[in-house]
Amino acid sequence: MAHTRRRTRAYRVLTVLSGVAALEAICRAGCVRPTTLVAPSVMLEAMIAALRDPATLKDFGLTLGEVVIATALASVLGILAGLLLHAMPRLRRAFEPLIASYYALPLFALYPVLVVILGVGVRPIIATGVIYATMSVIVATVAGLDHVPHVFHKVARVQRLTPFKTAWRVLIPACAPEIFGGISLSVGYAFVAVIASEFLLASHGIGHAIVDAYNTFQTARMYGLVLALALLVVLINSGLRRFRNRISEDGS
Amino acid sequence: MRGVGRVFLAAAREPLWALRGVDLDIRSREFFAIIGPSGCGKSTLMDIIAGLLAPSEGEVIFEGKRVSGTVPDGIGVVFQEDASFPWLSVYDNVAFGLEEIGLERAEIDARVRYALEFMGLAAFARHHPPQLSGGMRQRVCIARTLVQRPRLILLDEPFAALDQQTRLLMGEELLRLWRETDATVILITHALDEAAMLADRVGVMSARPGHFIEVVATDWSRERDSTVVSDPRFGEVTARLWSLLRLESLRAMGRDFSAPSPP
Repeated sequence: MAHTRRRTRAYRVLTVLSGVAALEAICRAGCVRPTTLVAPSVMLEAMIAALRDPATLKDFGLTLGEVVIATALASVLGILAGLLLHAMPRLRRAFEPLIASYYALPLFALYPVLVVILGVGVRPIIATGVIYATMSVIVATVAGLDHVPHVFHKVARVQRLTPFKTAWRVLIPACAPEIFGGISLSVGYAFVAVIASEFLLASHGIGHAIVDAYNTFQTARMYGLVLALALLVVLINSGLRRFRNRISEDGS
Repeated sequence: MRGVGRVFLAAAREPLWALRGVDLDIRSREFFAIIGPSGCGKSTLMDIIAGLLAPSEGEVIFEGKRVSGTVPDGIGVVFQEDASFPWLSVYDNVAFGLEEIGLERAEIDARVRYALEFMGLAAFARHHPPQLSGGMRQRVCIARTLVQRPRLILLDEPFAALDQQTRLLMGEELLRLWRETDATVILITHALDEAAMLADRVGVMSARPGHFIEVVATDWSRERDSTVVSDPRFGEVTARLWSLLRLESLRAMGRDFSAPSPP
């Protein structure tokens, strides 16, 4: 088992390295214009240079802060909405079409509306992040609650728990792995929404820094920032996955 | 219980009476077992006694008060399914309900440690249920009920998923618990030998809609243990239970018990 896992990991690393090496060769051979794509080694250099710049680090901090706040709000709202939908089957049936087609809706079109309502700055960006991130938590919470053994509900009643305590002490812990899976997904959605919002109208954040580099023809810096962002997201997802595996093992 | 009945209504179907006309008096400090054919409404009756389900007709009185739809103080329930919380340690599982009743930390600790010791789980206090066997997890659930010091303990086929040896040993522990706590115990089981060994009286239920067709007294002493199975009276009780249950089981299976058996 461990041997198979090691082999899979080796194949994965080999595939990524092969892709990077091929891209390096193509760029070094001059097959692609440097204004269109730079070699991975150049991206890496640009990334290191960008990360040494305090202004860029501040942008990363701002973006990360917006993502964290959006994810936290989405988690709270998503869990509450999930509990409500699970407790009220009629409401759930009414919302099912919206839930099924939520991510097919052009939610980003709401961004100007949010700017009108919330003004410019971080608030509409966080609001967009929340709008994108909440549904994955709702879906995961409802799915998790569906799988809570019926006997746990009975135990809560025998212990004479209030509905709030039943949710807090029994239902949410019972489906914590599923909820955490939804929160992990919501981090990705929040990143997409926050970066895209920063692309459009913000005067700060890593999304704005990438667009600024693009507009001023700093191709290497742009790719360096994209690489840094990609590595940050991979790192966060990897941490979340490990944590989720841990709570799944504890709760299995 | 007086004239207890429970009907389940489903759209476009005939109303389904799970129980009808259930009359029974349980004495204080008694160990009472309930047996009956599959689907006769044993678990529904248990839910009604516990207050988890309201009867459609009739009434259940516990300590002079009518039980209906909410679990009264003084009743503890152990379910057939594994109801231990996998995210909590054994200690925290057992302490679960005590924090809700506002006991002090020292009192909670003393009660939990006693219950863990009593159920032979002291060495596993920091373990989590997935690390334990099925029998140990069921003991965690019994300990969680025990710490609340219920005056009536309801057990819904708590040993159904366990092997025969573990069931016998768990039965002995249950008898010890019953003797030492002075609680009244109602045990639902599908095992005739378990009912005959553990109970003071065994109520035999009919096929659906379930009601008691006979209550058989075992006349064991309060100090009994699993060795009563070698008592000649044990065979008589078990035979009597089976003779009553056989007809009801055939009826529950839709068989005409009066027809001659095929050659």
